[in-house]
Amino acid sequence: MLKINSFQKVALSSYFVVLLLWIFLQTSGRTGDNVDNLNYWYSFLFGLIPLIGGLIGMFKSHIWGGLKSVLGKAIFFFSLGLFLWGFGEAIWSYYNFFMAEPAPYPSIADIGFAPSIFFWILGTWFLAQASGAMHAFKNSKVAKTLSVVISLTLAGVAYHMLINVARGGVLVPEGETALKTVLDIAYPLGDFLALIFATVVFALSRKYLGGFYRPAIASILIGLAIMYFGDFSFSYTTTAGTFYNGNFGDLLLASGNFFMTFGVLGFASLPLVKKESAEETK
Amino acid sequence: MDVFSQIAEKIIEQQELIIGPVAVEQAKRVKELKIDWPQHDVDISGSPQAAIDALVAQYKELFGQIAVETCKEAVVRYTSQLTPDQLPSSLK
Repeated sequence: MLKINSFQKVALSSYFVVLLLWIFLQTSGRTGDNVDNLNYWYSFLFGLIPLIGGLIGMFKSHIWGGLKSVLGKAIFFFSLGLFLWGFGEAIWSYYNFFMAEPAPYPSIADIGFAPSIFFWILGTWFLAQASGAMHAFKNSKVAKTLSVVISLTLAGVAYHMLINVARGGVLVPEGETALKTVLDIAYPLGDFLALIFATVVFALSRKYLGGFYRPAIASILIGLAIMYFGDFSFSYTTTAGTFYNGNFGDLLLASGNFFMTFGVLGFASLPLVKKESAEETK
Repeated sequence: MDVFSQIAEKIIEQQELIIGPVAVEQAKRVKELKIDWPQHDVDISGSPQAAIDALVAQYKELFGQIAVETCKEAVVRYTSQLTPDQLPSSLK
């Protein structure tokens, strides 16, 4: 049975609450134009998971040496990305509750959202070194080929999804502000790179990665992949004008953030390992 | 330091680069190793092969095969000095 620590238990419980609230929103008809403050509460609550989880992750990364070790850097940068994303969501909620703006994009909230993807990519780079993906890449021609095939395939699919489907074939529509133009390019590019990195690292590390922390690392990478689909849905619905707080895309964003937070928090404690001796290992 | 102590030290040092102070904590759980890490001093009591195997197993428990591969790569320079029957099974 999977052993989880107390931080992960709290994150899991919070996610169930968010999940139940999302189901309630859908079944009570709070969709489309029929939204009220409960939809805003949903957005606010799911943002707390990465906000608080990221903060804990940054503090707990010192267990692994913080910025002095490869794994410490991976945990720190993932946590920083989560914290910033949660911060962005808190600002988003401020616009919802106090300025009556249901979809503030672009806004100050993007100061949190935009850099989070960069830090997740940086975290994935260090995770690749700790998880065996880099080892596989250096020592196996099959792994090198697999990396290229995955990257090219995903590049094609992700470009089609993000540009053709989500944005109607236009990356930057005419008449946009400079900030929106930058963000409209930065988000898909960041999401696209994060998805490729996560998939390649996941595929290459499968042979080597094991042990107590395998589920935590898998959870981080799964979360990162889900975030791509969440951001894709956000782009699609905001372009089509069908976005509302608490839609399916928001559930994906809540889930992606949860999986990443859950994985990062897996490193917030050490397993209780019995005293090892030569006799016991025979 | 004899070659097995050097192997143990190198393994801990390499693991420390990857997982930080947890590497030293895990090494201290191996009964056969006496570690003074500020001095980078490692003493082995009992069978050195078994001690190295226990050390590698400690890291494998946390991160699986990648931990073993990292240990092997870290000590290639030393293991080439050993005969096949001297080599700890975890480093073969």
